[in-house]
Amino acid sequence: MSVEREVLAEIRALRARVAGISGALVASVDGLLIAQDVPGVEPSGAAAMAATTLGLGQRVAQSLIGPGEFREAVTRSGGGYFVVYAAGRNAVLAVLAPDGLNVGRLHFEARRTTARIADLVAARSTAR
Amino acid sequence: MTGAAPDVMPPATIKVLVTGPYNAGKTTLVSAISDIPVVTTETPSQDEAGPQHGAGSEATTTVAFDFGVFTVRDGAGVIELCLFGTPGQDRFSFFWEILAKSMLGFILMVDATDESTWGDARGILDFYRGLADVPYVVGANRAPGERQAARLRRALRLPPEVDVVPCQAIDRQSAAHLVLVLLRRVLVQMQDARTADAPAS
Repeated sequence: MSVEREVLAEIRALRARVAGISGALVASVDGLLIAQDVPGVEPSGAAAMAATTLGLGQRVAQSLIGPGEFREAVTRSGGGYFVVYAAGRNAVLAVLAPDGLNVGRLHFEARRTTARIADLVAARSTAR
Repeated sequence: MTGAAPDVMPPATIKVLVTGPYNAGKTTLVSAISDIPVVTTETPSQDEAGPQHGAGSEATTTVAFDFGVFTVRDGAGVIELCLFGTPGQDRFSFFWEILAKSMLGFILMVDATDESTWGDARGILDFYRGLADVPYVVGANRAPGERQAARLRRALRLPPEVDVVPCQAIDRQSAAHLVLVLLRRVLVQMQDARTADAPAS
């Protein structure tokens, strides 16, 4: 199975474990799509936005918050959530969900997903 | 003026953008000229169009923006030039408009040695010209001389009053020269606007 297919499997597994997710994608940290399951959303644009959000969030964490590793960036509107996690040094996981999401549960479950995705993406880079 | 000390004037703050295609030298320019440690948002990049990186160095790209401040003395006053470097690839174009809010001018950086990027430069230029009627200058980065700058001018189809400045973004003096060319145009535009607004005597 290609890395992209395995990453997609991780995305789908996360959606199965956490109720209320409407979509999720994984991109490289420089904004290129790796895998996506975001019905109704243009995935390439969303991938770039996820990378920008992660890059900005990490800069804010490092420069303003102080010591401690970046965890997630949450954008919340009346319609719901866009949550961005680092998945290793080279990838970003982004999750879309309507209002009503159990955010704490998502953060907890995303930890396993991002660790797995980090390994998959690292293996992909070595293979190139 | 009497012998009294002049009032301390707060610095004027002028926001300008530094834009241009991937790898044109935007982040390099902001880093070279900033008086404060520059704020960057760079990541490793797999982009193909990165011919300038020597052996052992990693290609990087800006995913959000760069921020630097360049302080200039103007007569008795001080001007704080706030420089916002934009990402280059057009997948980040959603962010270009956000960064451009309240800009008073922009620098279009172009790699004068890589003509394959000049089409993208033209597209970015059209985008920003469409957003705001502000002065801009073109930095012909890595240009060995005026001839390459002239080729770039023709390729971008620039009006004759727009400056194309050969520069080495990595060199602070060269970077400062480029930025001051833009600043002069911005100040003229601001002065013209003030004159236009002044009540008729």
